[in-house]
Amino acid sequence: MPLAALALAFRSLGGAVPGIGVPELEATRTYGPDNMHSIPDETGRIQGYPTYAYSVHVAGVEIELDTGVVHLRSLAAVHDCGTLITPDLAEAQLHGAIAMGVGVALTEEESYGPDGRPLAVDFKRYLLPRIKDLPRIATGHLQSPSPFTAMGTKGAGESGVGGAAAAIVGAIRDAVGIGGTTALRTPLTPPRVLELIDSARAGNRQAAAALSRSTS
Amino acid sequence: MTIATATQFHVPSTVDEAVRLLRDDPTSLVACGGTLVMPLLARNPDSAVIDISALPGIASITTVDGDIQLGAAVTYSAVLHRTDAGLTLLRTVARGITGGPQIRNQGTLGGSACYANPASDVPTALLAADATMTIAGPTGTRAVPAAEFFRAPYATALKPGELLVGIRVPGTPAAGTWGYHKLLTAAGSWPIAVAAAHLDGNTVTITVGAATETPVRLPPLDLPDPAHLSATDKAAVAASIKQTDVPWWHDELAHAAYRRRVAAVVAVRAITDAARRHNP
Repeated sequence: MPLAALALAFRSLGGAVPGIGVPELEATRTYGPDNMHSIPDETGRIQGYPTYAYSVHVAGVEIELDTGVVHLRSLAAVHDCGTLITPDLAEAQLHGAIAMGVGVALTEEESYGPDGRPLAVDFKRYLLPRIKDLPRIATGHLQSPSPFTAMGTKGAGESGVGGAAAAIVGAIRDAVGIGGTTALRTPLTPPRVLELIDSARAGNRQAAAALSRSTS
Repeated sequence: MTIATATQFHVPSTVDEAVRLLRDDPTSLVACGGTLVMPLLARNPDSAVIDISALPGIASITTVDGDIQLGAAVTYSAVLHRTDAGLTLLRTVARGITGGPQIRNQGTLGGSACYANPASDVPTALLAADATMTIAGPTGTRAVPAAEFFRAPYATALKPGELLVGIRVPGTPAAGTWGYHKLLTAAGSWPIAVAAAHLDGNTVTITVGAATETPVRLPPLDLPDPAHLSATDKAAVAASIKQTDVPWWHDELAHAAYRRRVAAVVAVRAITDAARRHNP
């Protein structure tokens, strides 16, 4: 009996196929992207994730010099998650991810008391960005199909988190006038930004003093 | 939000009944709009709740002997719908309450006053507006000025068994204009520093809060040109604020040194706001 005929008989007659006790017919197919490698190579590396999305972010900030409050004036991102299957969903993923990046950069902090008790226990203390905290986000999508997946897709969205956070922190560095090499602790809350402003001003005074010494 | 256990929930219909319930179990939470009590209840599910929203007149705004009497259950939205000159500052504050119409329709000035979170608008606004708090208790009703009501962070002059039933503000306000400014670290944060400024001619009276454990009214200052403050004027405002002996407040969002520093900035912005309203 051909397999197709057998399958059809099972499907239409079930357990009533003459001569067969319990019909058990099973087919299994699996698919996996072919560039995941859980076996370490000679240098110990594994590839735990099949495709990576890419994005480029630009942020514009305005900072109140007397309070350290940061106003996000503009955010733009170009995102590449390979072949876009559902553009609206990819766009929404990116918007959500960028909002999370804003929280990472500016407001979200899990603080603890000296006894280890969490302090940010509600959304008046663990500050997620609200609509008033976000500018309109300009986005664009490139489509560079992945050679490793069936439809050329890549993960969508997650690159927005780190990219947006980095762009915002970079914009604050630029606005305040501190170098790009000092590690900063996020979130850059107003008290921390005010400290950065203070240290930038102190640095400028030192630089100005050095300049006046060298020219006098 | 999950409240996992059954809670005793009382809805007294008279002040006497409410006072009796509160005296029998002083750990009860007094609720009205519930915007503060419901989150507390999620963490303290064993507290009984006394909902005062059914008390007669508790949500009404009336005029008594030339004063405006706000029932303890008057919401921010209810204040926003009034045009009384005596409510000018409270309207400005109500408009700026974060959380959108859901909170402004539900939250009450009385509830915020009784919670006495230093990092909030209402204590400062009530002190600035010369409010008097009407308190009911086992021995009757007493009136306490706002200046004596806010005792410490999260602590008021309410004694065990007492509840706030009303807030009175002068119906005929002093001449001049009001300015208000609050500093937030994000749209959703508790205020870090707030200031109300009353400006009459060249004389400004500043009330500062959120930066301090309890709100502080500063002595009146004379400024040559309140609409255009010079560096000297700003320094005078900062010096006046620094003289306060009320401790600076700190919480998860900002430390005390930050609050001390920005309080003067916020006060200057409140003066500028008052001056702007002076010459529309």
